[in-house]
Amino acid sequence: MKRFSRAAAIMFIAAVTVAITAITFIAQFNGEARRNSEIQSAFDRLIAAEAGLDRDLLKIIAGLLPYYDTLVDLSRSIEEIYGTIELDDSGLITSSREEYRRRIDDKMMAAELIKGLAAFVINEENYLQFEVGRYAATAAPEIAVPLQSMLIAQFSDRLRAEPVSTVDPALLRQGKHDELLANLLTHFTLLREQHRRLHEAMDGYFAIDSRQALERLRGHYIQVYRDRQERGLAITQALTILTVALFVGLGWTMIRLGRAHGIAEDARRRLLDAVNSLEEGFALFDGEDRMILTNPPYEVLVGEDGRRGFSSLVTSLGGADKMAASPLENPNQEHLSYNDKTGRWLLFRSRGTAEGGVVCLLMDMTESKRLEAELQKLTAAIEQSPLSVVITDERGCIEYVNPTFSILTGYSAAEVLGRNPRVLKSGQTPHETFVEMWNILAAGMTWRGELFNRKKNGDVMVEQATIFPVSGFNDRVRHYIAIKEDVTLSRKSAQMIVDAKADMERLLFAASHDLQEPIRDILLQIQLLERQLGPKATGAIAESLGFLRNSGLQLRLLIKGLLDYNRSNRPMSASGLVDCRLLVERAVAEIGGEHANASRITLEPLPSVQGDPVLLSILFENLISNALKFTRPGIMPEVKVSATAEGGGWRIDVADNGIGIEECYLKRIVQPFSRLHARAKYPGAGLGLATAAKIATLHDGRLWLSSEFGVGTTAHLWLPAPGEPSKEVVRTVE
Amino acid sequence: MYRLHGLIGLLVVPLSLWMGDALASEVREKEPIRPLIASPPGESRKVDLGRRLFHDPILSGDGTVSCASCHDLARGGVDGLPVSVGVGGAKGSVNAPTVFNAAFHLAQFWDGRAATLEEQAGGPITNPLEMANSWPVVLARLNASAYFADFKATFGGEATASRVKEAIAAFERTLVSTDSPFDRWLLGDDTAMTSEELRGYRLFKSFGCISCHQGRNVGGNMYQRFGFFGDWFADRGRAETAADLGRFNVTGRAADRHVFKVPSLRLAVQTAPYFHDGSVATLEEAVRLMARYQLGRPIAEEEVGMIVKFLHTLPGKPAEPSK
Repeated sequence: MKRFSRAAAIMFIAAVTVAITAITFIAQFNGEARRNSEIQSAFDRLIAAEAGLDRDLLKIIAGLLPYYDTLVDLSRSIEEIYGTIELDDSGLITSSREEYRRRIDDKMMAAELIKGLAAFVINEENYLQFEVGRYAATAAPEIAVPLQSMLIAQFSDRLRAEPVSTVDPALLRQGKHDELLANLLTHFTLLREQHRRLHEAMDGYFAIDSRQALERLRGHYIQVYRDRQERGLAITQALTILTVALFVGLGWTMIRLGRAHGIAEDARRRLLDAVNSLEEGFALFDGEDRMILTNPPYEVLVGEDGRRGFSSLVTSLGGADKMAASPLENPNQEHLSYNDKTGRWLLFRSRGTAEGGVVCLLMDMTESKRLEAELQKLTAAIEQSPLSVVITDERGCIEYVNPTFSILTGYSAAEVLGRNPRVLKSGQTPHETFVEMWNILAAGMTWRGELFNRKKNGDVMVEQATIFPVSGFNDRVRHYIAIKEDVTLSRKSAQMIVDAKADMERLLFAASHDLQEPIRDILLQIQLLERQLGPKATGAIAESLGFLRNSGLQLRLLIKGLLDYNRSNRPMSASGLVDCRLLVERAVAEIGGEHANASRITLEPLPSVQGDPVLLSILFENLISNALKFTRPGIMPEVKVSATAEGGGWRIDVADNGIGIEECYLKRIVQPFSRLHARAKYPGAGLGLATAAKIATLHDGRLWLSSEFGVGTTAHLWLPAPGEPSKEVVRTVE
Repeated sequence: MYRLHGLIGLLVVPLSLWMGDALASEVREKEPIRPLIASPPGESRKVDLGRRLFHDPILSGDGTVSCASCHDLARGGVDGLPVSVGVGGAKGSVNAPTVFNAAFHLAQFWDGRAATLEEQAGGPITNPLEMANSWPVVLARLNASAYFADFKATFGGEATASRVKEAIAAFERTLVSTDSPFDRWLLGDDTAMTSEELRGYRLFKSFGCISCHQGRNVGGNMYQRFGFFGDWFADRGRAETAADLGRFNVTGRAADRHVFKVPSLRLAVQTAPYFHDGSVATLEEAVRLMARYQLGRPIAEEEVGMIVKFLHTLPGKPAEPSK
């Protein structure tokens, strides 16, 4: 392309130069043609003027006096015309021109002589004609006749060069004493002399062939002019052809240039498209460190600094100390840098180009760095996990095991990589478990279950395993991941706890149940004693009796509470639709007897819930008992039981107007054996709310309190509404 | 209607004037003398410059003599002296001819050595007996003076010899004496000439004066030998000078001895003395001498007088009023 444009420029300059030369030449050529026509016309006018000169000279000889002036004008115009003829002095022309000039000068000189002589001759002829006539009229005939014949002879000789007439001797004799005649004879003599001279002059004048000289000059001029004209024509043609050829060449080159330009333009556009579609930053610098091309990501990644040149780019990347600043030193470089300001990781790569420049690629490594960190984190989590993790490929070959696996199984990673997990197989896992597991995995779902696997040392362990497939491209399974927990130990201890608890419950039930009878007997005996002693019991005895009775009652309450609480630990024995209103009414009837003093209990409509009627009745008993128990002195207890549909269940509120509970105790009060008050003031075992809360939990419900100190407390019980779907069922195999 | 009358009047008046003119003028075309007609005016700036140079003694060697010193336009373009007085009282060799109507001469100077007025104008400047100057001095003076600007304006450059000559010649071409009584008679004005004057004219023709003194300038258009009938140069009683050789000095031909340019008689009555040597004081004497030496015939005093009367009808009004 460069080659074409240079060629086009040269051709253009050449074409213009040649065209200008041609135009100048043609203009000169035209100027010469114009000059030629002027010169030719001058030649014609010269011929005409000369002819006029000849003609007027003859008129003067004929005695026409007015033509003297025209002769002056003609000779002046000949000089003028001659002066306008500008000829290039060259050999022939110069000589023929000099020749013509000589002839003209001769002619002019002869003409002047003729003019003077003609004037004299004409004048003398006129005079003699007149004077001879006058003289002859009075003279003797012998004198008059020869004189007159002389005059006649003179006139008849007029056109002759040599006058033939001679002077008669008689006249000469007579003239010696006749002064008048002598004068006439003198005139005759002079006339004849001047006549001869006039003819000589005329012969000389007409012998001068100035016309021929002029024609010769003209011929030479035309010859030279024609030669030059032909040469000029040839040169003009050559120049024209050259001009046309150059312009054609120029046009052709321009077309080639245009085509090359189009191709280059296409190539550039493609390059730009490619470069612009890169996600990496791209920059091209030439050999003089000038930026040639960048793409938008490059601008975003390095900004202004990157536009100034390769060295400035290197500096801006913070690689000045590690990288060569000039592509000449080392065009192939690679450098990973972190920019504090933008918080980006950039991977810089450069390669030298053929023309000595350098191509730079900038990759934003921030994301992969982040992913790397993320991966590290996850890997650490997996490595540190107390669960053993096994990853296999789609065929089941182990790709990864974490250290926990090695600790648990005794196999190191190197020992199991590439092998199938069946190396762990103990043979104790039921065959059905594997069938189910593979069915589930084949369906792309997660399998959970227990596996009995064998350690390297031969021990069998129980593993709670979660196994799931990992799909990649095309939903094809790429990996299986198994996360397993060794539950051998926890299984054992859980069983021990269950056993211990059952023992304890049995013991507690037996104790509290068996304790009811002796307590009943003790209270009976105290009653008997009081009755027997009657009014005799006074003083210390009566005080002891009262103390005994109270302790006995307290003990009975405690035992009943223990029994209730114990009972609430049982799993629900029976579940069915229970009418809460019925339960509350029964509880009120039972407790109302204890609180014979006036109290008001309001029951609003209550729903039916799903639950264990025995446990729920214990629950309500506890709540209502509490509501009636913590009364304020002098204030009639009022209890209100209401129900509100809320959150997919029922909230049953038991509100009282008792002493209330301070905010800070609201949580603590639900725990077993929590008491806020002295036993003497408000009797109770401290198990009521704990028991109630436990029962609520058993029913997937919740129990909490809200209270305003000194105004009253409300116990809130939330239970799921019957028919409401329970928690999502996870497919598990136990 | 009035307008129509006006139009007719406008047409009729010039028509009748032209008709009247045509009727009155029987233009005498056959006469050998032709009326003088003013030359077309040259470039006015050039003419003005020429006029000032003509009158300015700056051209002479000592700054005392101008063209006008010898060619006093108020005196018929001559100085009235037999021979002119140049720088330092030097005397010229020939009688100064008039500058009036000189443009119509076939050549300038008595011997015709200058073909044009331009050639002539340079002659006196370097003639030691006239202005006695040299071109380098003249041009240096002109270019140092206010003339420089005039030359610049007229010719687009400084003064040169050819430009000085051109300017003076341009001025001289304007010096034409037109509208003489005789010219008016030639153009048909019968009242322009008295009968005596007409008789003088007829004598002028019949004596043959006319054969040399004809044309618009009544002479000046040919060369003629002085002294056909008798040797005037011997008779005048004075030694022959180089100037007396006349045209021989130019051509070198024996036949041109004593040949001179026939002088114009247009202003003859104003330009005494006469002949190339200024030796003849009166016109009458000049007429007599001419009759004797050129025509070889006796002439009566009465005829001389009538010819002189005719000659008085030839000067026209000078185109250039005396300055």
